[in-house]
Amino acid sequence: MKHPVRAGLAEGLFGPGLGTFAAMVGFGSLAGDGGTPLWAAIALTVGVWSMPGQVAFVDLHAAGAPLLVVLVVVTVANVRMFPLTIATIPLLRARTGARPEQLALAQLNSVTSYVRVSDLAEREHALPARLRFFTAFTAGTLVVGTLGTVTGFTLAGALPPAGVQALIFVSPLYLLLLTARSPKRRVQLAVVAGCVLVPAFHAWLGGLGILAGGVAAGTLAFLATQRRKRDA
Amino acid sequence: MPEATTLAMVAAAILGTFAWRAAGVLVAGRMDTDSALFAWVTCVAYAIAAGLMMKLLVFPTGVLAGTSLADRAAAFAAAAAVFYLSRRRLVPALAVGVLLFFALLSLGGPR
Repeated sequence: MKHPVRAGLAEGLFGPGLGTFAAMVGFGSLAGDGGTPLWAAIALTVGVWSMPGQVAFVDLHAAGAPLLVVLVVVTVANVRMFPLTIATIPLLRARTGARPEQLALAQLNSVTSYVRVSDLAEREHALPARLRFFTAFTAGTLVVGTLGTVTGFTLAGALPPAGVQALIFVSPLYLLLLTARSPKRRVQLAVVAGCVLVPAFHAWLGGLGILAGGVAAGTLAFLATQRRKRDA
Repeated sequence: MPEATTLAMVAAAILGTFAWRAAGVLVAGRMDTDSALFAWVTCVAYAIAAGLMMKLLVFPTGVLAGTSLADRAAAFAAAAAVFYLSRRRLVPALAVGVLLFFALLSLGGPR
């Protein structure tokens, strides 16, 4: 990759970033309909930057939920950022060790950015360029995500319900297809197992079922491919 | 709702989410990308990312809860079919899935 910053920014703004834009139009319109002020909707997109918690916030705010409930529900809804950060940060540094600037990278990170940078790493994309690409890509998606939030908020009420539902549908569909693109067999297995076990565990255990189902599915995929490696 | 209350709620949402990210940075500090542990974490991260999205399609909350499972499944199946037939190209698959979903919702009328 000749110009990682330029390439990352272009992809973030016009490539996978379009999925982020559509999803955030959906979120912005939900916020507008639910009575969340525009400044708060923008602050949630930029500061929370994780869709499940943002959507939960709009519902809780509309219901006038107590502060502690907001803290707990949004935090639990965004639990995926924990394993996602553990999986992302090692791809962005030359040697082990936690450093303060990694907090900024973690704050910018999203499922879209993780899947993109993990794909690059699997294709042996060299490190300093990979970090530059990631930073530019996430900055690009953050910009289009914010624009999407403002657009959706402005259009709230004007969009037909089917339009809002179709826009909200973009995000899960897009991320599912994105995760299914990995060339690694281990990851493909994890995606399939996750699609079965996470909804099942969620139906059984509620919010914690997402983490429990993800750990169970990931472990299954990991063990299945490790055994295959040993047998080979 | 007073602005100050909303501001406190937004701050709580941001801090709660950031706590996961900061904890992730601390745990990632000792992790080597060539280790089996990292391979396992990668599997778990993908399983959660994909599983959470599938959960949203099967058991949605909020706006999507007002749509039928049949419409969501048909749109997903069409997108997946285009995805695999087009050698895993994202944009055509996404366009077909979302447009079909919108068409099904519009034809079905209010539910």
